[in-house]
Amino acid sequence: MTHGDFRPWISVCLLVATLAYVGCTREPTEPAKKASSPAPTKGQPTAESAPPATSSKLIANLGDPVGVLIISGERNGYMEPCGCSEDQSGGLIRLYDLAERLHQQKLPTAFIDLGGLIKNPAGARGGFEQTKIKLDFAIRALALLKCNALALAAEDLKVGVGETLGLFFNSLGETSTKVVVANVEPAETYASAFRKSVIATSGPVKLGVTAVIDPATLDQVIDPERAVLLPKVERPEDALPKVLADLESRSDYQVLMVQGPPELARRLAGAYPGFDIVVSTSEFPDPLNHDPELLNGGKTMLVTVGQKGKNVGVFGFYQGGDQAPKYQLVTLNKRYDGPAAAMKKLIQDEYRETLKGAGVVENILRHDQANAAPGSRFVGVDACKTCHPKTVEHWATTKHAVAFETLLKDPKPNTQYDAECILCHTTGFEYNSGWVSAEKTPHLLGNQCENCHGPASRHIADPDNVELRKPMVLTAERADKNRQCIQCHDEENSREFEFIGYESEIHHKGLDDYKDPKVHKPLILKNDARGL
Amino acid sequence: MARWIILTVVVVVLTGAATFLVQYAPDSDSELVSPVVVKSGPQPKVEVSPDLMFDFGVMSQRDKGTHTWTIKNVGEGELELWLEGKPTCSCTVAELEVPKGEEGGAKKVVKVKPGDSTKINLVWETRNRENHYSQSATIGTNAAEKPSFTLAVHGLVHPPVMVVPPQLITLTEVSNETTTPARVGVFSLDRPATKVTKVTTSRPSLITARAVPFSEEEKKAFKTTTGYRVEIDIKPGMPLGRFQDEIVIDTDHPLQPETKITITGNVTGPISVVPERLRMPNVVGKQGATREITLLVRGGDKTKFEVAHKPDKVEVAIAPSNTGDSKGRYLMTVKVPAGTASGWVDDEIILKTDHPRAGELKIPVSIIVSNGSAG
Repeated sequence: MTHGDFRPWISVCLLVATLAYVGCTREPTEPAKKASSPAPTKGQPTAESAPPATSSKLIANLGDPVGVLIISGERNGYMEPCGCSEDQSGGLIRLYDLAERLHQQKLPTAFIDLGGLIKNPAGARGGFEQTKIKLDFAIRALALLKCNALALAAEDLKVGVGETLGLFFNSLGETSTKVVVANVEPAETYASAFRKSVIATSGPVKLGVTAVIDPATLDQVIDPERAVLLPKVERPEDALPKVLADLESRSDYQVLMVQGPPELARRLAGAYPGFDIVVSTSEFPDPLNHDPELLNGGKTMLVTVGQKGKNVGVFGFYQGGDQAPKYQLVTLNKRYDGPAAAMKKLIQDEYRETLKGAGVVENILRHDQANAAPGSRFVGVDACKTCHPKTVEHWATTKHAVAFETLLKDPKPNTQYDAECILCHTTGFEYNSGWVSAEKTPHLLGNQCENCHGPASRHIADPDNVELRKPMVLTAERADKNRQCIQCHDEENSREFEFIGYESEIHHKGLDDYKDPKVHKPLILKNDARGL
Repeated sequence: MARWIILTVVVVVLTGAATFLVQYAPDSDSELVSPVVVKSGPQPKVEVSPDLMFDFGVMSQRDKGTHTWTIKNVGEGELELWLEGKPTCSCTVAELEVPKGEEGGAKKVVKVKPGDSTKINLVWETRNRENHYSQSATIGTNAAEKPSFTLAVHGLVHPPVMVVPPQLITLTEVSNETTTPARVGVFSLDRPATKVTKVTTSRPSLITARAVPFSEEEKKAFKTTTGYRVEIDIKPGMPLGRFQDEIVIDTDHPLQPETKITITGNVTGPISVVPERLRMPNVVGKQGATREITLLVRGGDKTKFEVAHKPDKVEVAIAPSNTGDSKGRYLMTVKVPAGTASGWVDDEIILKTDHPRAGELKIPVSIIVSNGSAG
């Protein structure tokens, strides 16, 4: 055999090896729950749209339903997974992926949401304005998901009743998604976005869906416009009988969502056994009970789906109605990291583009630091370096120093314009003279000295003044006891955080001596914009 | 030449086969996602005691708790138990956890023979959680009648220094003409003798705060023997619009010397603008859009409004909108006409009034006009 005779066979061997490598090293899939009944086999995804996980087994515990109902709720402002650390669950993009996969499997789907898209906008981490924008996009996301019914929630009204109703009207008025509430009537102007009940179809199954809001929670919405914009509020007990009777005549199963304390949901479920499914608010972010609570001798199933959008509840309905609906709580984990292009465009691109356009970071409400030297302003790490060179040198080796760059590397676009993100990646955000933007405050990139020690302008102008130094002294022990680090290193964004281990990485006590006479002289910075 | 033709055919066939296998063959870890294969013969059966949910009552922050469940195999086949996914944030189930660094490997399975039982111990850390707290872990089984069950703990967690309401004071309506009070309770459950040593605010000239010992009634209400009421006063003269400030409460509690709370609200003058900022982020240029803003005059006084400035692209009209007993209500309609060219509007509407104490109102405007379809 000549030299040339070997070439094709060597090529074949190389090719086989390459293909074997490709075949053996595909992305691992996320393990999912085992189930006790055979998985439905319908609707294998096409090659183009094949999701990363085994979509045919998405709702394996439900067996082979003819239609499903997805229930979400109490998103509490978490449009994306609850935090920026790995392995967090939830998010509208994953919810969309779940819905898409069910659609690919040709499994008819109805979808309802308990409301609570945002929470406590006045105290929200990203500020009031960002929360309003978030509410807008969360409503539009539900319309994109073709949500059949969104329950009216007091938290969603806390950006201003007029504002919320305006968002409902503008984003839902012409869509099939409606705000459903049996015991509240809105002003005529907004009526097109509201219904007392809706019939949601899931294949051959007709679901009669209604919702009520506890008048007591509505009373917590202090707004001079409320009485005008929501002129009629009834007790749930006064509104439900008529709505239930109507639904019973028009649907196979009746579903009630209760915006109020869980006790109210339980009470209404007991009082109106006509409802087959009752959705209650949750006391905890993760539902303690993954199975429905059976009431009325097993006729009514009371479910909670938890908070922060981590989970959704899925009911399966069966041919002929001879088998009772089955329920599975589905955690929206990495398994649902499919394409979800339309939702990604809305939640990642358009939402953050709007945050950028609205300037929520630049326009955040600012204030002075209560326990800083009066009148002190943020000056940036370069000023600190003059007298604390070794400390700053050590800081420059830590992740705190590159926190802003880390944010820029986030695959999600425009995170530097998201006030929830920028808070922990820059210096002095939310304080007067603190972070505004990379253009206006380039000296405050990353997590610098002043985030823990406070604004330093008065200290550097009079370095030997003990009274001005006092507010800036912070021992590791005090930082820990004051819960200072967990403002950012919280359970959602820094799950592995342990003070002792993390502090050792940034520990900088005694690195500098102060023998050089220059450290006792006032430091004059050239940049007047820093207020010096 | 023939060899090259054979090679080409082999390439095409192998490529096709590999693609097919990658897309359609069962996953290598399919046994993790497919239903349990019920083996024929004797079946295991799970019995968990005590209740799946454990209420630990009240715990301090940065504390550790533990609870043990007994899992008994009351069936006839061997029972297998494993951890489904990861437990929630700060709890561990040592018996079933794969050691750190070996997470990608096989799951840890505990086997229980018929009639035997095993213990599962949930350990949780309260860390810095506050109020309602829960942790859970879901256990998978090979028992057909109970493929998984969730063990959960819940209760209340309190910090060393309790502030009620915690962390945030929200004042919906603050008049810039009168003093607005706010009150918080400060006390310690684990060290009742804790003293408030200092209270500072981020705006001392307009927001003042002082600590006053609890009255007997307050002690009863907060179920404590001692404590403080921090009296916060927002004085007249605060600038109109939203504000957010901070209050720092220093105590002599060795585990929490400083507690920071946020106070936020909306300062209104004689005329309130609701919402205080006009935002229209999704206007389709060819369709146009309209938004309404309500102007509420305190005391229901009749007021004249004049548009002193507006963005070029919009039309602004103001008309009374009193309903029933509600007086002093005006509706400002802002219209982006159909056919408006795409672009950003970042401007403000300035209204002049004849109200003796209001003068001028400024309403920030942010509009995005696009060529596309509305979301």
